[in-house]
Amino acid sequence: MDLMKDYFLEANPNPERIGCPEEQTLRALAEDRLPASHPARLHLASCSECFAEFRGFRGDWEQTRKGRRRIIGWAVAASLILASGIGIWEYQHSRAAQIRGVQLASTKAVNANVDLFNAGTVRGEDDDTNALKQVSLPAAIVQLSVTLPRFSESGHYEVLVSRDKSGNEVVAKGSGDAVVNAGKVIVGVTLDLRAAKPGAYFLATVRGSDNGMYYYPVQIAHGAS
Amino acid sequence: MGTMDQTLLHLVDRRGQILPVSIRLAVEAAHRWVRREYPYLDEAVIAGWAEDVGQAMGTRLDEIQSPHRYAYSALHGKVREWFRTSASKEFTVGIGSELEVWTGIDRSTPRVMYQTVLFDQLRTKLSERDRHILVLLQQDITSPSSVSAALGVSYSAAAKAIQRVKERISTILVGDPIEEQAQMSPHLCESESGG
Repeated sequence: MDLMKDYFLEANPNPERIGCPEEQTLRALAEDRLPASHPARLHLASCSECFAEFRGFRGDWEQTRKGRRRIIGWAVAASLILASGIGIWEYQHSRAAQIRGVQLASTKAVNANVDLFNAGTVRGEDDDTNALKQVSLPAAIVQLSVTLPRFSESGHYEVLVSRDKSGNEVVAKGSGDAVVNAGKVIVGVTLDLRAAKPGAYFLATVRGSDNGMYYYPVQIAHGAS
Repeated sequence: MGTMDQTLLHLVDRRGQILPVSIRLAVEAAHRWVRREYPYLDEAVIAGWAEDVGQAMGTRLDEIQSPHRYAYSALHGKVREWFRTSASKEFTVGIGSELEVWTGIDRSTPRVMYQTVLFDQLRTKLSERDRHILVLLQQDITSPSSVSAALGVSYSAAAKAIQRVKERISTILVGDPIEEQAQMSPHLCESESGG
């Protein structure tokens, strides 16, 4: 127990309440609503009754503040938990949306052109693959338009993408009828390259009745965004 | 520490009628204060006093101008009366812990001073300004700037005055100021030079 508190509670009896401030003033003092220079503050040094009332008001006020602080603490904690929950949910939601978006994007066909008109052709498993300028296809569903090499004939063609030139590791395959357009023979095929990992591949063309296959190096890049 | 559980008081007049709200609120506030102020007192005893005070107030409804003040004074009076008759059951464990640390007293130090003697000494040895400073400290007005505003003196004068009050309290509690402390803190010796 604080001895000075006891001193002020006991040593200055003022039962007639001479010179005492109003209850409301004491309450305001206790709740720190009055400045340090307020004269009632010094009155407490000479009136045990007022000091007791001040202590009572002060204690109630501190209890209230403590309770309020506890409520605020709980509210803040609850808000943080809620915010974290919403954050996690948002993240998962956006991630799912992103994945869905990627999936949607990957199901959308991408147009691509490969011009082999001036490319030399090597038939079969020759090591001398055709010099094709940086042809790159995305790892997606590709609506591919292949301009066949000079002197190619129109007709039904198969176009495939494989890891090697033996045709054992075909990752995508499509076929279409080649048509002549402005002196060039062009075949359109749809290739599903979504399963293909980025890297070096071969693009092969083969005319329906012809057994010979022509290979051209091609790069597969990450899927279209 | 912690929240004080609420004691339900049975506040009725002599005929068993529920007391007016203003009386009940006043008695409950005084009851809460006594429980906080005198935690070593038996809760049931305090509740009994509060109910007695409420009952007494119920018979003087027309005379009581301020129920709050009446309740505080009456309940405080009962506490005082109890201390006069049963003081040995409660013991004082010292002044504020800060002062105890400052004066080098620990809680295990045997105490031979009685409250009345000590209060007399405080009354006679402390100046009015000292008491003002002490009561400001009791109101958590502890910074020299606030004390200077309250007393209408300069910051440095307030700072010195606070220091002197501590010294005087120390003197009263332990006889002479602790010489070791005075040697370690030369500025403490300046207490007699000022006003």
